[in-house]
Amino acid sequence: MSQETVDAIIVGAGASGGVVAHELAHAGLHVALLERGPQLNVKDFQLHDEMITNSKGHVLPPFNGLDHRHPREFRHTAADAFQKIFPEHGSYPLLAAVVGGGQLFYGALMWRFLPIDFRAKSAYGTMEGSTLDDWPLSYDELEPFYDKAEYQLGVAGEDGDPFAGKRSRPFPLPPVDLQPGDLLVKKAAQRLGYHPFTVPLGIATERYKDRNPCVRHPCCNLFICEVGAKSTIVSALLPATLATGNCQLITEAVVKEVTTDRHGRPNGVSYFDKSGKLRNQASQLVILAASATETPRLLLNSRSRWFPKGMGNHNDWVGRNLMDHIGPSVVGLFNETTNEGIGPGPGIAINDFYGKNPGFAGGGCIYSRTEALPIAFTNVRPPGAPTWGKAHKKFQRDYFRRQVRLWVPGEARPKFENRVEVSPNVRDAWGIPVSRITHSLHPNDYQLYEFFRGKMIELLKEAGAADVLSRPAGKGGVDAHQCGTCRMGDDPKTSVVDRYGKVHGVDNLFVVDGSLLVTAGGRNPSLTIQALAFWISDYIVRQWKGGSWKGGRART
Amino acid sequence: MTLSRRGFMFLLSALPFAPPAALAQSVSRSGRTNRLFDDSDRRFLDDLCEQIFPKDEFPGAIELGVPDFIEGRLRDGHADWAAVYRAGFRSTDASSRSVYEKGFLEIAFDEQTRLLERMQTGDLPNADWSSVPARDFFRMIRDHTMQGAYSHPKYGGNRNKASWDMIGYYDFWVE
Repeated sequence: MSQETVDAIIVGAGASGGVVAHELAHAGLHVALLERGPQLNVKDFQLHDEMITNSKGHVLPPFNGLDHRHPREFRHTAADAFQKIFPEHGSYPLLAAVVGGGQLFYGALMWRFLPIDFRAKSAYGTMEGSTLDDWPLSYDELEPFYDKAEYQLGVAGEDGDPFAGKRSRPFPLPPVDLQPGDLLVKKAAQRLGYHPFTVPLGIATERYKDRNPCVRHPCCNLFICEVGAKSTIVSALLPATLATGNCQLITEAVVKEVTTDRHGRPNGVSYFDKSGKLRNQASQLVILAASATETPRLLLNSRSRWFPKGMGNHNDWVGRNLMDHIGPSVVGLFNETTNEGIGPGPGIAINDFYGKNPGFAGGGCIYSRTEALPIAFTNVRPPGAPTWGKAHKKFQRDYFRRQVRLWVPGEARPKFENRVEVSPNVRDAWGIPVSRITHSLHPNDYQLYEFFRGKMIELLKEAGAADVLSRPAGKGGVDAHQCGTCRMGDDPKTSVVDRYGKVHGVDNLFVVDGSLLVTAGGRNPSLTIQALAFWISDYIVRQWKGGSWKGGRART
Repeated sequence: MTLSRRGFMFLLSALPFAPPAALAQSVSRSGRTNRLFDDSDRRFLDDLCEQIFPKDEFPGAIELGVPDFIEGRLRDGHADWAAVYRAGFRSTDASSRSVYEKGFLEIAFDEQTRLLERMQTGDLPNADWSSVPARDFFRMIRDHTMQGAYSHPKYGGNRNKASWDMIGYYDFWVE
């Protein structure tokens, strides 16, 4: 490739990096978009296939670009020893290593955070053992970018959540049709005095721009959408981004570190190309969009005499406050059909318990799913029920289409000791020190979990479930909702980046991914991550055109 | 772990054996001429799979091709697991002789069932399981059998989509 200086390097072609590439390329900046994995050609594969999704533990490996070249380490607390882990292990925080990132496989829940989420400390107060804080921006400031994300990516939903923040426009797409099990939950919620509404989904429920509408295949959550109905940067943004001619997508490029000039100012990245050769790519701006477990790793691996502890890490906050969601999954077994054998799966949500419960702090919205997958359902059984044999087989056919699952993305407390570091021992296939992760739950998380478990059992019983399955909380760990490791804030002593994602004290280095989140909110994070990416892109473009960076004049 | 993908997993389903990196996605269609297990080992595999997924008014594991599925998947890139299978067969047989004074292939179906119940909980003489723990072996064969019974027929199991039809799963991409 050309080793010319580009205007911006974006590391990671996932949910956030794809947004920034789209916005910067359209504004006339010359962008290099680097992705550690390949670009999938969906025509090569039958991707609606449970055996090759990123379900862990199948005899065929997950098809998400992650393999044994990408080890990590994990432990729950400082009292435990680190264990070396690989993508098939339960404790491995799974996203993906492909163009499009983890969003290719997501369940397509695309809701906004609530206004309360942006002032969490003000709302909930301080709590021992937690680094809870307010966000440096408000819901109202982010609202235009939520709106932009919804319309650019395509979100299907309905107004009807009385607890939601104000919207400047209705949803761009009509909500998904509900399944019989969703209707049972909806009626039960109404009888209990709650306010049910249809979940917002990043799915083209009808033809949207050039995209095909959803075909209602049951393999949706965890699967790549073959028809492109699922709203991802690949289906919605990347074609237009590349069509500008301003964005060069470089796949199988594994970034080693952010490089600096002789004054310690970032001036590009070094990366291993497809053939394993180490290359330098010079750039005016460096934008990190590699995920909440990879972006801090990259910053911490970028050490020099100016950044002896890693870039942006003067105050030891890079990698801190690693979060995910903590919420029970509760399955109701019914004596009637709950699903017509189609997808996408999510249906009814309620927000009635969001952030105002006695005894604990934090948000969470309950929502229903009715779809099931044949192999995964073999593991859904009441405690003590046979896990094999004739009784197991009978249960499979009795309940495969007679079950409703409720889940809540419960808001976990941020903890300073939950963190991403770089391992002094383990390196990846390119010789780069890997992420080592420490994560355990806060006492408040267990209270939140049990509260919601009780509410969900009650709701499913009211809906007519003959039996309800649930289990107590585990010990923690993070997965696809990983966030929080490069917190945004006004005070450099207690955050890594400012309200525009710019690393404190460095004028041309940005973080744009889930690492930014101050709190995890009580909702799936994709839309908020992408709204923030639009918000930061808007800032970068305005500053660029204003000549903030040397040579920073937009070429059109 | 509390994410949606984990929500399905009321039992831990990750295997104790790591798949090799960058395994080819190709699905071998080679038939019984290119077998991994000899006739005796194949009978162990047949019986174990049929225990996990027995025939009732719907087809059992053997009729569904589950043993073929497992042999095929092992042959196509999991040779290290095949050694674990063989060791497990030997240990299963040794336990059967300890408990019933007969080989596993000679005892009645119900006796095999009771032996597997003990294998699942690890309640078998440890001396018979020196290479692979009984519980780990059980879980591997249980999980692989379920995968063979309920996966896409192109992988060699779930012949004629019989298990999908049984539970009412309809994949219109396959039609």
